[in-house]
Amino acid sequence: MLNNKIIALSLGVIVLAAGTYFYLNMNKAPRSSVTPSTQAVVKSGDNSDAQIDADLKAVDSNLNSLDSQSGNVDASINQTQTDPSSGF
Amino acid sequence: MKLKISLFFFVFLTAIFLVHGPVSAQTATPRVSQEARITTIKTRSDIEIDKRLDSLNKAAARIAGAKKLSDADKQTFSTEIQKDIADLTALRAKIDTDTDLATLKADAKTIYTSFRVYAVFLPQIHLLSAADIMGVAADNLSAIATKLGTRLTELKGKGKDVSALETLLSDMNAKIADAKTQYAAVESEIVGLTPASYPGSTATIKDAREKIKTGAADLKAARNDAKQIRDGIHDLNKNNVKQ
Repeated sequence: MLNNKIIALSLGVIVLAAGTYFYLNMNKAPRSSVTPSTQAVVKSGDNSDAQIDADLKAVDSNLNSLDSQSGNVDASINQTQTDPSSGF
Repeated sequence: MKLKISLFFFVFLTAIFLVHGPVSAQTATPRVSQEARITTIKTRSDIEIDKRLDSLNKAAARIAGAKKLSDADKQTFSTEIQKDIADLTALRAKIDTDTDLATLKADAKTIYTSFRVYAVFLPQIHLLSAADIMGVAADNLSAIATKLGTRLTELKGKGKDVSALETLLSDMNAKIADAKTQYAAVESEIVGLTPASYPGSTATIKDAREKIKTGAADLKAARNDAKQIRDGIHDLNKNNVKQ
């Protein structure tokens, strides 16, 4: 009977630990943000050196945005692995 | 004999006390802790729902600003986002008025199971946004490749040796084509995911992420090719000696 008490107490401690874990996970901070994008688009027709240089800068801007967005993808995938799907 | 009987009753009563505990603790404590649990679950549920509403509103802006996503897909996702916002708002109202612990717990669980905002929906939106940016970058690089091709043709007409630059241009076009294949594949495998796709969606999302990585590497290589071609053209124009 005393063993039953000890088992019940142990289960209580386990449930409390699990509850604390989920609480901390749920309140972990800020999830990655999703912000509107405005992507640079190159000017067609003009194939001067100056315009091609400007076009390459536009592509650099696109690639920087892609890197940033890839970071958001990674952050959201990492969240997937800690989703407390079993509820509270 | 009396001592044995007394000892027997002492042990018996002690055992009953250990098993059942004090009567007062059994009647008063659970009622108080149940109310506390209800308050805690409601508070946490409200926080979780508000986070999701904020993320969904930002996702709506992201979808509206997408350039390469088809109008039909934009409409589908916008509708889905607005539906999730409405449903989560209704769920928040229900949770706030729940008085039964079991019902409250079941409702709170649906924040995850019915929406999968962070497990499926936001990764889906982020991947589509990344694919959209890849599409814009690929189109920009295609336009640059066309301009560089025109410049090489002009130089070739003037008798310049542009064979090395043409090889770079071929590589650039191949990389752009592969990047386009990658982002089209990402869109097609991601568009159909729903909350019910979880947990199988996790593998699909990871696969799409790998395709984004491959496409991004293609685009960076194409951009480096363009820069080398641009520098090569500059050098040929500076050098008036016929190659």
